[in-house]
Amino acid sequence: MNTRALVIIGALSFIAGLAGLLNPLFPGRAAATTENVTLGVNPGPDHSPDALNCLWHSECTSPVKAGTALDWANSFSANEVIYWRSYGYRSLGSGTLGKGTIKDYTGTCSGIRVEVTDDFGFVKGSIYYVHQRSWTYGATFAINASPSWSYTSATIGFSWSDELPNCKSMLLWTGQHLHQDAQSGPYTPNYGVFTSLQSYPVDSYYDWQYRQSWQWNY
Amino acid sequence: MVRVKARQWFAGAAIGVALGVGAYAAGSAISGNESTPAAADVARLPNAPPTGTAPGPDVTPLPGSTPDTSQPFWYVPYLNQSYKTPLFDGTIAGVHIASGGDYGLPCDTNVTPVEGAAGLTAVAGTPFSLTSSFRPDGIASPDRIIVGLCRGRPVSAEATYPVTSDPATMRYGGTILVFRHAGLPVAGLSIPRDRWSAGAIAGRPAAIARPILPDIGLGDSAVVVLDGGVVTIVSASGIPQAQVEKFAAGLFQ
Repeated sequence: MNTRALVIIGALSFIAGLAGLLNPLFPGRAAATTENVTLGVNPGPDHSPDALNCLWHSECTSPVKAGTALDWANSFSANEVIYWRSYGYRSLGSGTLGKGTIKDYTGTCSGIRVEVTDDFGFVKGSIYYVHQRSWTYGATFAINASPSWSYTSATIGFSWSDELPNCKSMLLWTGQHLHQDAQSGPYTPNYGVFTSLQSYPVDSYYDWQYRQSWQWNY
Repeated sequence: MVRVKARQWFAGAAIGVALGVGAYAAGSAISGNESTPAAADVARLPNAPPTGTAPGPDVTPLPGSTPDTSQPFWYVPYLNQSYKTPLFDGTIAGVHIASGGDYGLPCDTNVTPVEGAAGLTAVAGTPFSLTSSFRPDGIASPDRIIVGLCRGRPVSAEATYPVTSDPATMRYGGTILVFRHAGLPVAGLSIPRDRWSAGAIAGRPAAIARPILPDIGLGDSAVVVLDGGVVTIVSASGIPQAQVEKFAAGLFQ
């Protein structure tokens, strides 16, 4: 075989192989579009406004132990319902940003959590609702989003008028209320708004309790 | 002179071919080969923007179908189907499993809660340990650690481990909760009855609930073990079944 032909074959093979080596840097297909997404989660009490009974804490003891939860009264009636409330933003599209799934979060105390899954199936953390119960574990609801922010409200359970004996034995519960917290990694608490023990509107765009942002590349 | 030059050219071409083949092989190994036979539920990157509305609550998967995870809302029909199935209420491996439940902690006085890192330390090396020897990729530091002490002895312990998602590695992410308690052999879990079976974890009889899609990990799953009077409950969502079982086994090592 002609030596020049051998050289050309060798060079082409090297280039083709190099493309294979670089393949992981460009997986599947080039990302043509990036969309910014933000989810703001509001307080969950039944009525708006509702009274904030304990500022940012992990457990509302005396003195308060620092943390990222707020205690809402939610005690106009026994076993009062609680809501998922959120404002969703998408920079490009309208519709949803994902789903919320209601899950059993019973441990030392009773509880539920709402796990957020984006439209592509990636989990975006959970919002924890402690001392609550639900009739609909496993149920899902759509979380709306748009460039002009979209509101979502969904009934997810109720503030239990009692608690498990274990929870009461540890003095972690002293009466019906909503202890709302968030997974610490992805969610940022809104420390700037909830600064005093008073009533707050719980469905206002400005009164989000936790917020997180991410990007979609497709 | 000419013969020496020809050898050099030939050697150069051979090296080029070898480097090319090697580089391609390395690239394929890192990126995965799309011609590899697909598992029952294999993850693929998204390739379309989420437009329109998600499938409604009555949309369920066709029998025998596998999810196309490159499409938005691919998981919704599976969650819908799971929600239509009644929750389990029964006994497996000596533990009664149902929603809610009173654990009947054995203590003749109020149980003292110990939170955070101090809680992890209080139960280290005991049957109530919250630390597994297996750590799935993406697992984060635990949220909400609460240990219950009765006159200084552990009687319950819980921790919530978030597992972060990562589209670059097709890790969907989720949560692993650990709850270990003395008292009654009960576990408060709300998982459909068709996903439970008896098995073994770390050589101990166990109740195991598989995820909706075991390889991807979609949906809730659990491992429950009664050993030495302590009920160990590992409940997870979004985590592949093999990892949940490894995590549970790691609590006994």
